[in-house]
Amino acid sequence: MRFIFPWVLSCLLTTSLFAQYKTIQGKWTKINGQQFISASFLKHIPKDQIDIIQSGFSTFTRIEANLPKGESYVPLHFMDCTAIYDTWDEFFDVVKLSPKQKSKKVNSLNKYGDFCLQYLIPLSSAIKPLIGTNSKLPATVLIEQISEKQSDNIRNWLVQQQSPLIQNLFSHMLGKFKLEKQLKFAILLPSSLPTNSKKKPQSTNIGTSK
Amino acid sequence: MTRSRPAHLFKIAWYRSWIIRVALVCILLLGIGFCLNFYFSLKSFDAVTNISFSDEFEMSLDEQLDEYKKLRTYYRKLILDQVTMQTMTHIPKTKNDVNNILKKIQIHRYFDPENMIVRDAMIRGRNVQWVNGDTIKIFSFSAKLGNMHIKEKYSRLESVKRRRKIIALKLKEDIKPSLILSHTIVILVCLILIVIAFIYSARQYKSRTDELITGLQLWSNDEDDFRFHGDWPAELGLIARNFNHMADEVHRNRQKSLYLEKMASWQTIARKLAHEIKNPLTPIKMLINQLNRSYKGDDTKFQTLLNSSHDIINSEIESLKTLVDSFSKFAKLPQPVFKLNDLVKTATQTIELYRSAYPDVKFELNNHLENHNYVFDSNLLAQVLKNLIKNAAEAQKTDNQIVVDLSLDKKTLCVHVIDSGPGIPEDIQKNVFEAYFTTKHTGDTHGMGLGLAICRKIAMDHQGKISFFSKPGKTIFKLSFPNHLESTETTSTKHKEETLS
Repeated sequence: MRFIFPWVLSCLLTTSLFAQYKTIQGKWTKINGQQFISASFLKHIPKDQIDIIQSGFSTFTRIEANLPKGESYVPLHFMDCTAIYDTWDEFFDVVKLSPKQKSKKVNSLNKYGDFCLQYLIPLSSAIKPLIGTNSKLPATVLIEQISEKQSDNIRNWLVQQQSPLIQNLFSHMLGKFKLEKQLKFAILLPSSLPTNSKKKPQSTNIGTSK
Repeated sequence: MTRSRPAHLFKIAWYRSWIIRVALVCILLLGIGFCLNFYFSLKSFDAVTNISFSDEFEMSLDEQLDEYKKLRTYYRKLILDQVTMQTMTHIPKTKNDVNNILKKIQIHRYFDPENMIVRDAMIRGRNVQWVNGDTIKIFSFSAKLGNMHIKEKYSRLESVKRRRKIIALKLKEDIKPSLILSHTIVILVCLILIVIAFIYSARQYKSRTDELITGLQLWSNDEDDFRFHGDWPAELGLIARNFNHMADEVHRNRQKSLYLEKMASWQTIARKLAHEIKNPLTPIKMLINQLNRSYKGDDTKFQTLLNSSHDIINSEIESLKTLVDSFSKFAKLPQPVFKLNDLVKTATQTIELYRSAYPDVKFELNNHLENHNYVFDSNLLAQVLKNLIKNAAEAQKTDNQIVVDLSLDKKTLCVHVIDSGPGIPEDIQKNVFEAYFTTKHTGDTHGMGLGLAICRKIAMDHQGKISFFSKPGKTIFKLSFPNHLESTETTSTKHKEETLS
């Protein structure tokens, strides 16, 4: 009985709120003996964003999921990451800022995706009741390219190309030059709890790498 | 001069004003021009951006970047092969050896051999291999190559590509709308300023034209004293000044016509009076003489009464005759004959006439004229001088100085008669030129009050005017007329010749 209510609620939320969200299947992953639900967003990032990342712009990503609580949602942990792709030497210089700070160099887009665009949800007491109920967790992926400094440089260059009469007005109208995209997803929780047998962690090798 | 507004003003609506319509059309054309210019600028902007941000351009940039990378790969392979060859014969033991090996290669297009950093390094892998883009492992050393020219070129081109990419991405959603908005604001501000300036100017112009029209309307509705005052701009000012001049001229002419009409009616009355009075005087005189001569009785009282009555009646008859003569003279004022005369001589002769008649009055002539000869009627002018001098002398017969001043003010001859008499009281000053107005009851005019009226008529005949200023101790009468009157002597001489023939 106590599972019926969250089941009904999740169904309702699923149908009403997530109609327009892209659904990503969550998969079980075991890391250091601990089970996680992993959701990989790399293949769902638009092509133009990938193109910009691979053009060498510094990229900041934040992935955040929300957990249903009553009639609202509470945020889970968020994952922040920055990366710069060195087009000359062809590698990603990646730094994960949270939950735990880590940095590494990877030489493919897929490895970058695994490091920065794979969200891990630990199997907690709050998540367990939702397993097998076809629940979806709303998630937001924020991608910000181009650093403040770089943005200002390009902006100032553009403003200087205009006539002196119109520079100030144009500069005021132009606003910030950041490239920012916010994508909304729904993470579909697995239909069943993981088995105790050791399974290879499922990684998403999706997307092409240069 | 004062003006008053009537209840209903005649106004032209602003949209019917010709000049405002023209200005509106000009502004409209200007606005259309602005907008068309803006539209075509946008079109050209689109065309230029299509060229600048076309896919072919991006592909060319990518191709060039790839070429640099290929060149890098080629040079890296070349350096690797050459270093391998060098180390086949001699394994480097020291950093110096590594330096020398790299300097021998002389692939300076790729890197600068003077700018290397050689370190000890234990890196797993082959003896000679590239660790990364700019570091090569040579046995137990690593050499970081600096000043890699191709890399610099690559970085520059890539920076351009990145900037271009950002601009291309931001073009439609940010840059173009911002440009359009900025230019639109500038155009709108310009147009608004033009419209404000136009409205302000149009209002100024309209209010002035309304004033002009109202003023003309007032003047034509018998408000003769209406004149335009204040500072009027440009052509409207010219119109206002010329109107004022014309209105003054019309006013003077009207006054002159009125006065001449009055004079004419006075002269008619004088002529009729003279005729009516003159006729019975002779029979009255004859009868009274006959009556006086006819009494032969011895009543001395009656004889005395008769004699005194005869004397009184004769004396009154003489007075009446004098009156009649004055009326006749006034009624028969001659038409002026303009010919060249000596003004100074006329003035001198007139003064001499009165010098002996008023021995206690000091007479003086001030002549400021270089030329003495001018065109005027000497008899009429002499009459004016006589009247003015006589009035001045009669005003104060003792301790009086009368000065006759002759001068030329631009093209106007001025004759001033100045006396040091008691002056003309203020309350009667406005009537002094009226016929039959007098304060004197002595002299040969005997209070007829025709002298100054005659002077004014003569001044008008000379296209001039007579005016005065008076205060106790000083009275100045001024006669002024143009110095360029046309002589009528030739016309009258011709007329005489025709009559004789």
